Amino acid sequence: MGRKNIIAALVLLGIGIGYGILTSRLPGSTARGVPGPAFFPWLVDICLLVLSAALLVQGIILVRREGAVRLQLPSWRVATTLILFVIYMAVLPFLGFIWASIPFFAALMMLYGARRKVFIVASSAGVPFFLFYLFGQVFKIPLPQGSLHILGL
Amino acid sequence: MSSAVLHGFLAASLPINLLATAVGATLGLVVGMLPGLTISSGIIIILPLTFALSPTLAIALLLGLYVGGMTGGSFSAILLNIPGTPSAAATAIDGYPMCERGEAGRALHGAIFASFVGGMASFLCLLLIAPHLAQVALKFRAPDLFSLVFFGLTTVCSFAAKSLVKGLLSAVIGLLIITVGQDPIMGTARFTFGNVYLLSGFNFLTALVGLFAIPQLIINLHDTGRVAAQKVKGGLGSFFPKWGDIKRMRRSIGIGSLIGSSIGILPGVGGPIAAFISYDYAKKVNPNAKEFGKGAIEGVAACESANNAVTGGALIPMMTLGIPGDPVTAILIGALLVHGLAPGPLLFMEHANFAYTVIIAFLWANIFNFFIALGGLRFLIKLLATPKPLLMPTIALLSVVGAYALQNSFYDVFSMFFFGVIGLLMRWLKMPVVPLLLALVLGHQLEKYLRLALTESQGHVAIFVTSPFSLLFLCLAAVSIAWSLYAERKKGRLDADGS
Repeated sequence: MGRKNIIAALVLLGIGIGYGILTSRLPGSTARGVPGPAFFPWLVDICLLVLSAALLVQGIILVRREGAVRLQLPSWRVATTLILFVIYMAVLPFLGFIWASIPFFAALMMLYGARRKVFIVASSAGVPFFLFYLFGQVFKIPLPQGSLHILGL
Repeated sequence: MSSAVLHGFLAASLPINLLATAVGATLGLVVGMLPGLTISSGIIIILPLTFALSPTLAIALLLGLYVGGMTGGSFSAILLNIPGTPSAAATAIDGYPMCERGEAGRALHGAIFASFVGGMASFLCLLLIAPHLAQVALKFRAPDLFSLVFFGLTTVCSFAAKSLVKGLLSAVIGLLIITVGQDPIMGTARFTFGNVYLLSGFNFLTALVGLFAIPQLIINLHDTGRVAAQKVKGGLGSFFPKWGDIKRMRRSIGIGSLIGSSIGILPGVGGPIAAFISYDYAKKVNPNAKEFGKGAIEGVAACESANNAVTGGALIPMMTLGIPGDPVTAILIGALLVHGLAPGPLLFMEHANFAYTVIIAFLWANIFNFFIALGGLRFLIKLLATPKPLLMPTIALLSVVGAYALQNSFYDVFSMFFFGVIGLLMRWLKMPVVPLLLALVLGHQLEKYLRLALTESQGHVAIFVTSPFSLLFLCLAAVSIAWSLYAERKKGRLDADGS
C-alpha cells in the first residue's frame, strides 16, 4: 500500500500544481471583500496539496515500516474489458447502438465465462435489440443509429 | 399542510404510481439479493428509464427500489452467507446459522417482517420530522447553509473512509471536479480549455454511473459463472412469520427501528453501521443473548429492522436540507434534479404536494415490499442463479445507455468512462468513492454559500461563528473530524497489537 500511496500522492501533487497554475489565470475579485471565481479553486488547491503531502508522508512511513511491496499489474481480463470499452465508445457513433453493441456484448459475455455459443449469440443479439426498441419506442429516447442506417442497416 | 398530505396521498396512490412502486420494490428485491450488485447500481441501471417518466412516477419507482434493495440484501445473507448489500452484513451472523439448521424460511420471514416494521417506523419519522425540519431550515442564511453543507461533507468523509487522509482527498477531488465549468455566482468559465461541453461542467449522473458501474463490472470479472443456486434446507414453511417469532422479535425490532431511524438522519453513516449497532444493543438487552451468533431470530430482526429504518431516516436530510444521507439518496437528488426539482427546505414550500407524494410513496414502497417479498419469496430466491455472463454485459450496456440518454450526447458517454477509470484507480488505492460522490452533489452549494456569506460580511470569516446555527454545524463538523481521527488511531493501534 505504501508504494501505491506514494505514486498517488506524487500524481495528485502534480495535478495540484497544474491546477494552481490554471487557477492563477482566473480573474480575481471584482470588489474588496468579495470573493471572485478563483477564490474557491484556490481553497481546493491548498487542501489538495496539503492532503497529497500528508499521503506522501504516510506512504514513505509505510514503505519504511513494511518494505517496498511489488506493485501488481491489472489482470488481462481487466485490461481487455477496458480496451473493449474504449473500442466500443469509439465505434458507437459510426456503427450505431445495435451493430456496435452486439460484438461488445458477446465479447463481454465470453470474458465473464460464457461458453455456450447459442447462449452467447442469442443474448448478444437479443439484449441490444430489446434495449434499442425499449428506449426508442417505449421511452421515446432514441439511441444512436450511427452512419450505417443511411445504408439501410 | 393537511391538504398537501391529502394531495400527496392521492397522487402516490394513483394506480400507475402504485404499479411503479411495486415494480421498483420487485427490482429492488432482486438487485439487493444478487451479490455483486448494490442498491446504488440497481438505481443506476433503472435511472435512464426514469428520464422519460413524470417526477412522481420516477420517484415512486426509485423509492420502491431503495426499500426493496434493503430487504433483498438479507436473502443472500441468510441463504448463502454472502450479504447482497453491505447493510445486510450483520444479518448473516445469525441468519446463515439458522439456514444451516434448516430454518431458512423462519429467518427469511423474520427478516421481511422486521424490515417492514423498521420501514414503517422510519416512515413515521419522515412524516413527522421532515416538515418541521424544513421549517427550521428556511431560517438558515448563507453562513448557516455553508456550515451545514461543510458538516455534511466532513461527516461523510469520517464515516466513509478507513483512512481520514484518503477520505478527505476523495472529497477534495470531487470539489476539484465541480470547479470545471461556469462558476455558480458570476458565471465565469473555469478550466474549460475552450471546450463548449465543459462549460456546463460534468453531469453528476454521468459521474455517478461511471463511478459505480465500471468498478462493479471489473470486480465481478474475478468471480464469474452463476451467483449461486442451491436448495433451501428445510423449505420455506408458512407464508407469514409465526406469532411466537413475532413476540420474540418485538424487542429487537423496537431497538432496530429506533436506532436505524436516528442513524439514517445523520449524513453518511448508513445502513451497515446502524445494523451492527442495533445488533449489539439487541444482544445486550435480550434475555436470549447467548444464542446471538448461533442463529437467533432476534439478531436477524435487529439488523433488518435497523437497515430498513435507515431508508426513511436518510430521506429526512435529503428532502429538507438537500444533504444526502447515503449514496442512494445522493442518486435520488440527482434524479430529482433531472426533473427540475431541487431537494431542500424550499421543496416543502414551493412543491409541498410533491414532497408529501414522496413521503406517501415511501409508505407504499414499504407495504409493497412486505407483500411482494413474502409472496414472491419462492420465485425470488430462484433468481440467485442468474448467470453473471448475462447480467454484467447488460449492466455495461445500460450504463452506456444511461449516460447517453441524459442529453443524447456521446460526450456524456466518454465522461462516464472517464469517471469509471477514476473509480477504478480509487479502488486500487483503497480510497473511498462516497466522499467524492457527495462532493459532486454538495460542491456547488458549498462554493455558492461560502462566497455569498463572505460577500455579505465583506470578507470577514467571523460571520461563520457569530451565527448560532453556523457555529453549531461547525462544532459538529469538528467533532466528526476529531472522532474519525480518534477511530483511525485506535484502529492503527489495534492493527499494531494484532500483528
